[in-house]
Amino acid sequence: MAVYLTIPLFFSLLIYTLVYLAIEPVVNAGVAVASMVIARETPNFLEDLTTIYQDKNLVERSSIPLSEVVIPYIGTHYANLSVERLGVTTPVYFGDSDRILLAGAGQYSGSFLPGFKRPILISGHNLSVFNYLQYLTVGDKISLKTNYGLYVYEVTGIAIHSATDPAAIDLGKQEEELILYTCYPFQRLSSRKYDRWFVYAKRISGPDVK
Amino acid sequence: MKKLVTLFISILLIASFTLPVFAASDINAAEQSVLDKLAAGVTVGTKTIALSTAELNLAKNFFMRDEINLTTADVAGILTAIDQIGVIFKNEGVSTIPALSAAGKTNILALAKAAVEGVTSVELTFEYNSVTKMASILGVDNVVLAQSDVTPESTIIKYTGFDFTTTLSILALLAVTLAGGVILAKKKKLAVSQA
Repeated sequence: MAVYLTIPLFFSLLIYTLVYLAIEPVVNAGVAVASMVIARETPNFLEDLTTIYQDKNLVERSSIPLSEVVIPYIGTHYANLSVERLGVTTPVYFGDSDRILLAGAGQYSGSFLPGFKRPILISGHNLSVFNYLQYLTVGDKISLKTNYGLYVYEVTGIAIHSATDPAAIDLGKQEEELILYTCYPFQRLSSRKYDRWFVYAKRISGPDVK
Repeated sequence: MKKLVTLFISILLIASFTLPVFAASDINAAEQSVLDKLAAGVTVGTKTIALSTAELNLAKNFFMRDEINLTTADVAGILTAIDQIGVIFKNEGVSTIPALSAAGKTNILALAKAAVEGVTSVELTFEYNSVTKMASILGVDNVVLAQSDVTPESTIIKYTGFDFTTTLSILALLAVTLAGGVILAKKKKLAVSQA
């Protein structure tokens, strides 16, 4: 007799659990939207993201004083990264929190701004802003335009490293190396991504910050 | 409605362009003394606890901000806090944050907060988010001047991928279960029409 109760109960619970697990990502997004709609206070979408970037014409100079450079606040769009050959442009934010990476590419704040002759580490999502990293080849030119200067870098190498591989980046380097990375593999369907696709580039033009 | 949305977006855009910005400045001698101390670290037994290159870079970027121009008096409090943090590690005989007791970690957070908020030349706030494990130094208007992930497993390299494998696997499993159920019901002739 108990079997008529326990088996249906067991399968009901199993199915409900599976359904919940399957639709959880969608439900979470729906709940987030709903909570925004019924919120008592006006949501502030610019709570931690803003911009100081102005797409202006820049005069070519070999160096610029430090006083002309603004160290952006975390979550500030301060530059645009472009690859002319691929016809792509990506906004670059200072900082690389999850929220920033949803809006564009994020620069790790323990790396330096362009022009400081030190490494610049920028990340972006592999299905959106940095999907094109897979199409870059050695010799490609990458532009990083800020309010104080236009910097051009040439791709010197592409490599796949584990996310925890210390050999992948050297932020102590005394030279300006642009390092872009994203999750690897690029496919939507794969297990959790433990590897990263790295693109290394050296600066070939742009003013030094002094 | 359209007008309201346009007005709302305009206000947001104006707000985004009216935030104050400051030019960068050199690291002064007082700030350099903090960097030196952070680089030197503290020795516990045979191990030295010091900030990594990336964390030192983060500190340099912070000190290069024009609104940050710490005085000797400001720095004295920070240097003392670094010493006190060193004592916590020494007393517990450990050389990594994860190895510290809960009380030790709480004390370190309290010391960091007191040191940052003890700065008088500029208004600073220290914030630690226990959910995201992010420690932040905020300036006037709550702008984030520096931020660092302090989880034991934190790495500089972020997770930058989307993965739909789990969702699709479960959906596939559901589909197979349902199909199996239908086949079984047909075989056992469970699905009989009611007259």
